Amino acid sequence: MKRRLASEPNDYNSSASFDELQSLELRFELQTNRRKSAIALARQLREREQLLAGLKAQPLPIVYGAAALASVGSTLVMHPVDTFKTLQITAASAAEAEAKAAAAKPSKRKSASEPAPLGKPPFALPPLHELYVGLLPNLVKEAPSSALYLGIYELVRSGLMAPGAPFETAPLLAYLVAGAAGEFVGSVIRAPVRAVQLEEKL
Amino acid sequence: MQSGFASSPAEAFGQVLDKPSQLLTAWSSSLWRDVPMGAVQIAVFELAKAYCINSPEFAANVNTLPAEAAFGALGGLIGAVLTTPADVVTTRIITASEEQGEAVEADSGGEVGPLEVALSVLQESGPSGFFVGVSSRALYWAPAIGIFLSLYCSLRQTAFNLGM
Repeated sequence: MKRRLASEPNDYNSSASFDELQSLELRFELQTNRRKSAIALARQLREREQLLAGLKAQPLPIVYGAAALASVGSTLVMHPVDTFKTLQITAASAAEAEAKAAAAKPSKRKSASEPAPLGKPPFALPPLHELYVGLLPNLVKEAPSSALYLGIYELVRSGLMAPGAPFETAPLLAYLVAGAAGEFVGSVIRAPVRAVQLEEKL
Repeated sequence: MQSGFASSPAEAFGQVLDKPSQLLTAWSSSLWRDVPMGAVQIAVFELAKAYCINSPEFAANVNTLPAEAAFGALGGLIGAVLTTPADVVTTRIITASEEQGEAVEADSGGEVGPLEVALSVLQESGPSGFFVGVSSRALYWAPAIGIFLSLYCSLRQTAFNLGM
């Protein structure tokens, strides 16, 4: 058709054949794009299936190890935040107790016109190394229990969602039950370590 | 290890073993908070991930560290908010148990259960009393769970890519 149009002496841009050609080209482009995205999607799905199958077949020590290491990473980032929060609460409680004690002893003030003592300046951010105090006990508390949490979760979930299993068609229930089971087992390790930490802080 | 009763982890461990009922109270009451939290955070994470995989309009790869961190943070946020009432009750039980200490062991009828504590919270502060500290809890757990679950998935994927 292109050859026929090229040999035509008239301006083919305004001809009906040109419009036809344009719409054919557009349709072809659309089909090509659709095919390309379908191929990409199929490739993505195949890769995902391979990944899921591979992860499913991963030995349990890898699962427990990954969970423990992930917990170490999370604790390393969040421990200073936790420490800062605790220090803030402690400082606020101390300031409150101080204010109560001061209010209970008005006679110590030289005169009624003397202003009440001002509160402490806003709690300052301590140096970073101080925020990491108590990191090791926290890692001892979190890493093994987190490993158990996700390890048991994966085990229970795959059992509940296996073909013919009770929650094969109810993934939400399987996730909830498996997560609860994992946390229950993990808490058996976490609770005593938490109690030891509290004893040391008292 | 600020100050006080135990000067070393070994001594603290011995003291914990000396008070088994206090340990049991702390553990059993923490289950009311931790078990639902553990269930909700992972369920939200998995559901959010599955939803994005099945949504044709969501073109991004969901198996990446940032995407999984976002799903995990959502799980941590929802889990933390939903379990704040349990956290309020648990904290009160543990604090009361620590304050009473040996007295609780001596007086077996002195222990308070979650239901009694929940009722006292309701009488003291109303329903809002169950959500004291909700924002700080959510702000802490959203990043913590985001980091934890995204690292976990990435480490497993790395192990898979290495042939493990």
